[in-house]
Amino acid sequence: MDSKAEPRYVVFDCETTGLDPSKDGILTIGAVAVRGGEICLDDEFDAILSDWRMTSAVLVHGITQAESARGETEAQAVNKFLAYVGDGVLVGHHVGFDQKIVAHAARRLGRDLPNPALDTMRIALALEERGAFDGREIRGFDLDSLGALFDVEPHDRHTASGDAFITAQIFIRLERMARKAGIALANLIERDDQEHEAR
Amino acid sequence: MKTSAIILRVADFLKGFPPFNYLPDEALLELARSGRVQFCEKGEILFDQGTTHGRYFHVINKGSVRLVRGEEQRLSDLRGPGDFVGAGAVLGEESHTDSALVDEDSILYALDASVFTRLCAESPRVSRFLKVYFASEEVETETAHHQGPSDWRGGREEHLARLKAGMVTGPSTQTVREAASAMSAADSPVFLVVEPDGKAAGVVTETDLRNEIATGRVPTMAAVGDIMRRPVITVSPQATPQDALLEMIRHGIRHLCVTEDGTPQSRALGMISENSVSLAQGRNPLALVREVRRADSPSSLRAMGEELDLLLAGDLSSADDVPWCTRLAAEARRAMFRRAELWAREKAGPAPGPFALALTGQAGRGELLTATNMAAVGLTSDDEKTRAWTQDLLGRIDEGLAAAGFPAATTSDAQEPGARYRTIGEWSEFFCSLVRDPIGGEIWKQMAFFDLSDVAGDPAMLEAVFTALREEMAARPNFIRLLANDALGNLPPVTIYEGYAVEADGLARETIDLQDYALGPVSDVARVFHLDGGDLHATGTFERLAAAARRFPQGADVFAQGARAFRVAQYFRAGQGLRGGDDGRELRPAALNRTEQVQLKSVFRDIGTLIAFTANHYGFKG
Repeated sequence: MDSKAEPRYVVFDCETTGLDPSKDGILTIGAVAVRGGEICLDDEFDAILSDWRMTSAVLVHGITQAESARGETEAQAVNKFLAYVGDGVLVGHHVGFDQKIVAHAARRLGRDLPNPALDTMRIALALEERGAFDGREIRGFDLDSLGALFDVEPHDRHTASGDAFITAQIFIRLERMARKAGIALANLIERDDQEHEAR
Repeated sequence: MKTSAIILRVADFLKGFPPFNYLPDEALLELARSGRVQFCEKGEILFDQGTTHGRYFHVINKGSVRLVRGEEQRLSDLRGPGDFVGAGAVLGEESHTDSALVDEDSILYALDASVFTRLCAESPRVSRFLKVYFASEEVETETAHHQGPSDWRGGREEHLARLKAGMVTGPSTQTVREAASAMSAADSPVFLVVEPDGKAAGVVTETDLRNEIATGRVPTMAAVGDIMRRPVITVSPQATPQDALLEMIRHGIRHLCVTEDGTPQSRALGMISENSVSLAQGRNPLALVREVRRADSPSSLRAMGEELDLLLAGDLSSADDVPWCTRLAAEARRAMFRRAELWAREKAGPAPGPFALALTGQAGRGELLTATNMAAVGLTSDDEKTRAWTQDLLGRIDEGLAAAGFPAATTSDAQEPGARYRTIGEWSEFFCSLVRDPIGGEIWKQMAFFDLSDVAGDPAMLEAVFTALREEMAARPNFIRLLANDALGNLPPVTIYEGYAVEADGLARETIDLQDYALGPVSDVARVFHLDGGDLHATGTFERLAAAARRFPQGADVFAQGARAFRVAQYFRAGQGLRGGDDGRELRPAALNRTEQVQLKSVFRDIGTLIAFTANHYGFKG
């Protein structure tokens, strides 16, 4: 199969200073592309931002002040990320929040994030509704539970790149299951709009 | 270039497995960055046999892949996490030699073959590993560097204290007479000339004193600085006995100077002599064989056997050492046999008539890396007195060997009573009847007799038997073909997977008998070609395979592969046996590290190729 004809999915995750996209900022962004059912290691993105003060969030994400100090400004990182995403379809676990916080940052630069997005949790729920898990026990639909279901190692959990990689490994399975179950991913697409609730 | 956690994660995984662990970090990151992560479901086909290699090869992250060959989808390998599939392009293969089926849901890393090819070319160690993985070549094992006596007598601390205490030093202005006197007082064979700051400036040895002073070339009042040798060859305090031995061999010297940092630029700590190296190395092999010839009791022979095992364990640090160690072991153990035979003859008294003794099987072939039974057979003249005497002699030799620690013959080696000594006529008839009716004579139980080598008595008696046997074989050409058929009986396992030896029908075994499934098949095939060439004197399997390669050049590569497989299997068996104090036959693949498992897999593959060649050569279906 010619993978160039396939849509380019950008599986991404942000670690942030808090849970309010309008006030909080991005600490790190990690992303990797999926095309033709494969995670493309030569098409990935990783940024640490320098302009956010240390908050309790750093305890979860394990970013040290020194690391952050070496990072890029929000403007540099977000501009690069937008260029990296291009016209790709965004994918994430609870993607709405990550999409929103990047969109807010983009707006601060006078830009926007019009890309469609797919939430791996919503795909998993849709598959569950169709009985596509075929009797497999699902503990939950959070990232850890889906990772455990698909035997994905929880390496580098709670880092943007780590979570993006885990999500991508879950996504390539869900995508395949959706194809088998006759679920069109296009029907599950979300777009950033002002009504979308932050998580 | 900044590297993301994702690339690092993939590179980290690769780094856990050979040959990727031989690549520098930068190269690994480049390889990881070139790749794809794929999820494949059970039953998917990764590639078909005969199709051309694609851009990527696969490394299994999770799950397993089954490689099958031919229309009947014969299992050729099972690969699991850390193994790779489809990388033949790296070795210049154009198409896939197997089909690859995903055996269970799997995560695969598809990595760019052209990037890997380039990185391999930059790393000889990786290239060598791949040759083992795909074809047939030995690889240095991780353990190879850790085997043998890697420490000094009494340990490193004691060694350093000893060499410090034994060091005799002085300035270059000291007279030769003073130096000689200091050496004599300290019973040291070497005088180290040092700078005021303690660095080594030169060395004066007993030999120098003999050559320079005793011949009158230099007056005794000359300064040692005038006759000292330079530069001083130095090693670090961490040097092992093997390191020291290598340095001595490399520079052709008998003394090394230990310095603080191993270079002549730091302070001298002491001198290592050849004697201390050979003490740590075990025993000098030649000295050991000399001692065997002078042994005065079976118990001293037993002690020498233990020393021989230690010496072999020390010297056998890779499969490359197998041929040399085999020769050494054969010399030493045959010397032990002759010693036991001499004692037996002293007790049995003079032979009433002509007789000869011959070793059989492994002993006959001289493949005695581990102490195997040395049951000999006798040829006797046709009179009751000599028969009885030969029987008595064989019994006494057995007793002596048992007391010297040699294992007794196993049931498979046991022969019917009285069958161990026969007249020339009886032996000739024994062999000729086997050639006439191999199946009725159950020849597969008697193969050890086709590896006879004379060890005592009149060699002409064995020659007479060989002459009769040769004539009978010439009259029955089908005999060799039947022997060949028998040699094809014990096929080695197909692969090692998750610590199990897996056979072609999927049967997995926790242990494998190296003799039955690796060494036996090679020596059986080698014997067939040897006898086919008309030579009845027992020679070793290596020699037989080399001779077969000369006679059948079209199979030279296959015979060379067989020899390599034999060498590696011997290495595994001997390593186990010498460490475990047994014959090392039973091997648990799970106990091997990954590189060793790869080596063992290549042994099985090579033996499979040798057997297939033999089957084809003698007109059997492979």
